[in-house]
Amino acid sequence: MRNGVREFREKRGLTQKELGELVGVSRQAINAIETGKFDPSIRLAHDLARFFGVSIEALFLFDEEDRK
Amino acid sequence: MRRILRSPATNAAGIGIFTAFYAWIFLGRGAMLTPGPRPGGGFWASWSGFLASGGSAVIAWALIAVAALTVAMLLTRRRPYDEYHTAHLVQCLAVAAVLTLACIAAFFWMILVDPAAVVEKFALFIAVHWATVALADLAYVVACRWK
Repeated sequence: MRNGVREFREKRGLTQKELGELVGVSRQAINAIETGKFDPSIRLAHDLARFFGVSIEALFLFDEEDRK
Repeated sequence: MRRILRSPATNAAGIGIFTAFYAWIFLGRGAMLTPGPRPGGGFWASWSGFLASGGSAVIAWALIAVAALTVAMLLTRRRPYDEYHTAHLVQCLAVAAVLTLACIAAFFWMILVDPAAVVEKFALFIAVHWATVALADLAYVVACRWK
């Protein structure tokens, strides 16, 4: 799933490790989300969106192709 | 289920309990693994001889060493696994389950083709299977370790 986590994180000047610690997951998890290798749970997506002060839809781009 | 798997203690208990049981068999009940001399040569005669000459103890100590390292790393971990790591562990368990089913089928076929040396065959099955599981778990623990 495409997402804007990297862009929002870099705007805040955070490393993957720092963002992971702020939302309670590992650096590997943040990296996997940013590269589209891992789709977070709705709980983690909510935590990330709330941290960046945006909606989940603004952070995660739901493409129709993702259903396949 | 995933909530339970998030705790490193769950992984440590699983790998520790099964390894202790197999180590007890290979270390303390080695004689049971080689119920009698195998006539002739071939792989199973060699395997049986290896077990009888102390090879079962070597297998037991190797399993104990891998499991002890894994358990030590798990118990010194300061945080539970996150959902990304847990998802990987679930995938690993699913692959292990499929491989186990395949191994059982292969083992069953081996017994049907040649019913002799069934104990030695099962000992090989357990040794290979649990060594694979223990090493895969160690690799998982090392890969997921972060400060």
